[in-house]
Amino acid sequence: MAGIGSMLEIGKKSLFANQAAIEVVGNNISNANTPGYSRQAVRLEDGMYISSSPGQLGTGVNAVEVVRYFDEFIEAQYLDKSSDEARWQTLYENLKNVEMVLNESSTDGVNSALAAFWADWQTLASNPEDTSARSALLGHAANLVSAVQSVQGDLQRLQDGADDVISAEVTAINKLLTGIAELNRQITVTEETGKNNANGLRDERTQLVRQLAEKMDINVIDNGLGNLTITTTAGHTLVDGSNSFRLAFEAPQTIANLKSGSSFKGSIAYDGESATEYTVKIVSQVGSVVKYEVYIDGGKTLLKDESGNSEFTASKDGILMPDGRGVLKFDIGTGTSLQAGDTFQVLPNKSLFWYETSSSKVNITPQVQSNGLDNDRRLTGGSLAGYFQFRDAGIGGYLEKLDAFAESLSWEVNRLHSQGTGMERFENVIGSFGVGSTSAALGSAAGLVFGDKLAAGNLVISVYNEQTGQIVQSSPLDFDFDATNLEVKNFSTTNSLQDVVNAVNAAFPSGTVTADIIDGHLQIKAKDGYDFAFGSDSTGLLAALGINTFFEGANAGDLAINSTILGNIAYINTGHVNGAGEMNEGDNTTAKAIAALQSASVSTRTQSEGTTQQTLGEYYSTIVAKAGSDTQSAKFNYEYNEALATDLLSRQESVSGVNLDEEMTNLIKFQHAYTAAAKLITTAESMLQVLLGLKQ
Amino acid sequence: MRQITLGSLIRQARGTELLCQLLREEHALLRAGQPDAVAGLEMSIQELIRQLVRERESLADALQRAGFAKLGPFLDGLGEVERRVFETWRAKIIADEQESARQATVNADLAMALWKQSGSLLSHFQSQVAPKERNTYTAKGTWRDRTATATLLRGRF
Repeated sequence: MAGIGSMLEIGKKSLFANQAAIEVVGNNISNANTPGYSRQAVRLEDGMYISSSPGQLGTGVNAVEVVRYFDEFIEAQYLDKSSDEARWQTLYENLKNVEMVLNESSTDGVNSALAAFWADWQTLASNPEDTSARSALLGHAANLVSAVQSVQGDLQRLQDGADDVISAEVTAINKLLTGIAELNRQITVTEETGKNNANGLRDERTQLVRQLAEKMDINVIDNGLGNLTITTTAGHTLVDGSNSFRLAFEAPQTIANLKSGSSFKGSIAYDGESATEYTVKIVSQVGSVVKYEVYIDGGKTLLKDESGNSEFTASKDGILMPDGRGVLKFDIGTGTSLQAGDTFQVLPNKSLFWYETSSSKVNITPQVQSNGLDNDRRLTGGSLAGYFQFRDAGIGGYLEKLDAFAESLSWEVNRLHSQGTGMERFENVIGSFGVGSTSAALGSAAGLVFGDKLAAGNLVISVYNEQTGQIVQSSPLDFDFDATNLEVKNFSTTNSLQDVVNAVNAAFPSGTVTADIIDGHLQIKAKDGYDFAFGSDSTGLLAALGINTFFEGANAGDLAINSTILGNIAYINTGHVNGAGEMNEGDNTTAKAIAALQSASVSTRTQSEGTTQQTLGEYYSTIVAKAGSDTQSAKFNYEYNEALATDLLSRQESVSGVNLDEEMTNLIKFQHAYTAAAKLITTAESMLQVLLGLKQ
Repeated sequence: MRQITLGSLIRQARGTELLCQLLREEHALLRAGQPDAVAGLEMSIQELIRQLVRERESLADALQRAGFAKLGPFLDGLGEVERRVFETWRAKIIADEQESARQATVNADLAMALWKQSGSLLSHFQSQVAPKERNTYTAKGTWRDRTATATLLRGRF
């Protein structure tokens, strides 16, 4: 019913509504600089209408709810781009550290040490007897070894550092997930759709979701109220309403995926170091012979050895990875066996898991495949993906190439050096490379580091009288000794270390030189009064067994100068033993050959790039160049995604950010409305006074 | 002829150097999300490229008038020391050109990505605003069904 009482009611409601609006404006102004705050406004609705004469009369205004300005569509795109930005920013900033490690512009590094090493061999070729040239060579070789190891150590430290950061990131992610789930619960309790909005809690939740998106790629599904579902883009649920799941960064492990009906109950363990995840698939088991294949890229790429073989036979020591970077050891267990199709996921590094339940977990470690694409069943964005890419594809790739460089350097120099001779002959020598099995084929199953480089052929050992230096016997080895048939049988890659021992002992029946095996290493000894030297070796056996070599070790971490040479520089080989078994003073054949390596194309092989042919100096330069180009590429991707994310953020800000000018205008508007409402009440009051005064 | 060629090479080198700087500035503006400033700068870049092309054309004309098909044969006729001066400027032009090409590609990629992003947002807003159901009753009360998009043919065969 219209009347003065109704006017008073309209005025009162208007006062309340405009007061609420002014309070919200005040809150906006005070939070203008609060990060993550979204602009709010009071939603005003006109009150109910009363049918009367002259017609429907309104009953004033209602302040219905306080709403928050926020664009969910832009936010979803922003989260996506912010994940990509964080990934590439992380990768870029970390790769800059690798560039610093490899930067040789201000310090002496591998390239300059390598140049000095080749120059010393050239000098030695001019003066084979010069001891000062030999000492200089030893010094520069030590510099080279130290430079390679220094780069390897620095890269390894950066890799280990990435593990520490990832661990901290995973802890922070789990905290964010529980935080978001708790906010979901609070929002559900607080909110009443259309009446009571938990704007502050929603802002807080948005902030946590943004922080989460910076750490990993996520997909957000808002079902209203606190029913917010967050999954990884690959589909692993992280938060579902008030429930949260967890991630774990776990130690290296091997996971068995057995075929149904497989009776394998044994234990498995991986022994080695690699940046690559392997999937080992059992092809067959016949008796104790186990055949297997190895895949990388989550089972997509089949690994092959240098000869192109992809199916291998396990030795009793276990399964050797085709890239030679580790062994999967089996203890099959009594009464059990492997079955064709049984697979084992080998994770040589700490990996990231999503726990679906408290016991069931899924490997979601970000993975860049051989073709350069991400494995989209894993994480693909956020700083976590950046750190993993840096650790595995980045540093892992450089370390693999550095190892390949050290391996080629060691093999190529040793191959020439082992067939040469220095200023002194040997009385006793022990090989630096050992085998796992003394009866297995040296070319494949024995576990010899350079086994795949052996070739069929022969090698000659010459024995001398220690006092006079006169040659006593010079014999090629017979690798299948038969007393009735004295024909010399060449070495074959199927010969074992025991066959080599037998061949040496058979070649010198008088015992002037004898061979033996010490802990898997070949030892050759001369009888008192005799010494010996090595002649031509077409098999590569001496270099592969580490006898009469310049270097020890077969990768960047264990590369060293042979201890025999370190103890006596006279064992640096410059010359050779000729066909007549003679060692001539001034012979520089070996030194010249090694010096020529500087400009010779040599084979270098990595699993990721296959076999390449270039000089060792050029090959090392490709590592430095690759780091530089990777850094530039990461920088471009970072800036690209940053620009897109910034653009989206500014669009979101234009919707939800507080504009002080606009708030000032609103303040004036609502203040005037408030004043007018007050005036309405005083008008009604004076009208009432007039009415009450009519009686007087 | 030597003075003309050297002068042209120096102007081209300075021009390509300026082009690099302008493209880097454009990149910075794109990253900062200032499309208005980018549009202005792009005009300057296009004008500079036009001037560089003119400079190159006039040098080519001058060389041809002097009987040289290209710059190479002209340089072959110079002494070692003088030639080195010309080669230095030419190398600088080539280096700056390559850097400009790289930077221009990066800028184009970024501009295209921002444009696509704006486009996708616009499409989304349009899809939110546009009526999903376009079929209506007319003022006369007859049913009028309209296709959501423009078509040449409608109905069923």
